[in-house]
Amino acid sequence: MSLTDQLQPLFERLPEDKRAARRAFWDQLVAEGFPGTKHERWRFTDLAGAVAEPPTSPGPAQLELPSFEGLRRVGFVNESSQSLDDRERLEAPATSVSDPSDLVNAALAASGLQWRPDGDDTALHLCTRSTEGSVHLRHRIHVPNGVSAILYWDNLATEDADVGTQTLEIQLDENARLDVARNHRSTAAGPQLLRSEARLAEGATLNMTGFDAGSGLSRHNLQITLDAPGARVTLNGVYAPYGKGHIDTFASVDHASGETVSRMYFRGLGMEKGTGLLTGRVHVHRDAQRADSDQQLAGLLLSPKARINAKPELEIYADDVVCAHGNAIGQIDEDALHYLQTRGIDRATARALLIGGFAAETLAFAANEAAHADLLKALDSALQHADWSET
Amino acid sequence: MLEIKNLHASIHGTPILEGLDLSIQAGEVHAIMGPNGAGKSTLGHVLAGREGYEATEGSAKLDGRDLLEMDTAERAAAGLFLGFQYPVEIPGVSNIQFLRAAYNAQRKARGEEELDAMAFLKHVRQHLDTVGMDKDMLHRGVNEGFSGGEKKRNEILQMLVLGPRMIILDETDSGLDIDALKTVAQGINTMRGPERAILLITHYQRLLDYVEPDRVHVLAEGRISKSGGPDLARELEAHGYAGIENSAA
Repeated sequence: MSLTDQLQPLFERLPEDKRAARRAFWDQLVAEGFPGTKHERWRFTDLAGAVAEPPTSPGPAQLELPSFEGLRRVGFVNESSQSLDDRERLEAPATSVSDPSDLVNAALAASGLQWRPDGDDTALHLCTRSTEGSVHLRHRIHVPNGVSAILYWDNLATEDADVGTQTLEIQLDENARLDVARNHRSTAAGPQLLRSEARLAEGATLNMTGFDAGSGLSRHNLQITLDAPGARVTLNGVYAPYGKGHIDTFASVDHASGETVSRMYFRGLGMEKGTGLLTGRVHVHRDAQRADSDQQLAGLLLSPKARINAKPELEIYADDVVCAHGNAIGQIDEDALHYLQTRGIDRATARALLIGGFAAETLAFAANEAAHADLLKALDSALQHADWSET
Repeated sequence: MLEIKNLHASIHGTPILEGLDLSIQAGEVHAIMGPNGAGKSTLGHVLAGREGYEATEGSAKLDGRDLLEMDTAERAAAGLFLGFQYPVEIPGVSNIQFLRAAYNAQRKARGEEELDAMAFLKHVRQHLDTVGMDKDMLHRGVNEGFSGGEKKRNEILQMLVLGPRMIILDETDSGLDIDALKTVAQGINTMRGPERAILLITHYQRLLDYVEPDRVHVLAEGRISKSGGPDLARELEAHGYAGIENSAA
């Protein structure tokens, strides 16, 4: 049974009007199918067989959610919203889909957050929980001219969650700024497919700092387009698969205009039998002169059976550009480990300090203090989940 | 306090120490000098328990306890401190986080109560002036981007904060300008006292101008070839190791 056959009942369960509005995406998905491993962007993540049975409808709507001072909370438990103003409910379908893998979400997501930060409302905690069944949400954020906003997207998928998709659409107008901290943890039975796509106008700034962990299968597509001069994006991330976790991040930045800046700093922690994959794609268009891009990928292999692939992909069609990249995968520095031990710190604690320090450097970019603290807590929790006996 | 008898040690199978004897009593400051490759740094690493540095024969006891039977962290909790010739940079772990983890780990190992963050910060700050370090450096990654002198000051700060009983400083004077040397020496002298002992590993007399040793030893070919008072260091400075070894012969 193909993935689309399995997802068919989910599409059929949508209310008539929503189904009609999404019909075109569904038909396109059925016609094209989901990208397989022969598709370069899905080389390392095979979803065939990842969805074992036809997924079930989303589970219960109630769950106690965390809250953080200074961040207004909006929650989705499975697909049911909490503390959501009607104006903030996104019910309209996607306007266009540029990536075939986004078709599943475009066809199945019937709800989500729609936020236009302004005035006093510029700091939001988007708390999404998938505890049971197949959850599909689509969120849209539009930051108007000159406004600065903060988003903490805190997403958790637990054991009984089936295949789930969430797409975050971001539009930044001129000189707008958005700082996103993203915390994704999955121990779900079904694959969790996330997508963040953003378009940046002149002088706009997007900073995203993400943490992805867990023993489940997660895929995160980031598609950032820098449309006008002065647009600037920084993507920071830590991925930490443990157990038999598989975390695949495909980060892509399009310098569609000249005088744009992109930065990518990702670090991976390979624990137990986990697989971490990071593709950093930078596409500098022909007219994008004086584009400036820097990409640094690093990974720590912490177990003999862990795997990390970090792959830079640079496509540069302009000639007056600065595009730097570096890639380093290694193991824990034995000299540093010994140094800490000579001060009385036992080997296990010393190792945890070094791993935590390696990841925390990247997470330190998170703009909001409460979100940053929560990311560190999630990191600590991931490190404690892992079994270190083989290392 | 520190009793080393007939210590043989090798690095990845290559013999370096070949029957070293050394006895240091509480309250004493000793200096070990010697030519390059004599085994000075090896002695420090063997005592601290570095992986790959294997004691193949003999014994090393601290306060009667067998150091060689303990793992590295246990040796530190027992009161041993090794100041590194090349302190390691650890990005992402702040100096204060590292110091507190070390301090509390040692207290815990000794069955003492751990200090909370505020009390610990107060404890650290009282030592900052002694080593001439700005408090901002507590919040930087351990030794990250520190100059050579700053790294050595940081070693001395760790020593002051942890308050070990047996201090081994491995070429702490190397790479220091004269002001930094005086500051480091001041830190070392602060630690002099009847309850602890200090072993300075050095190539030169200049540190000993500021920290007067009780005993000076020459380490050559893996063992102590000559011992004496502070004058021995000045003699070495004047005649070199070859001159001393010839006169010993």
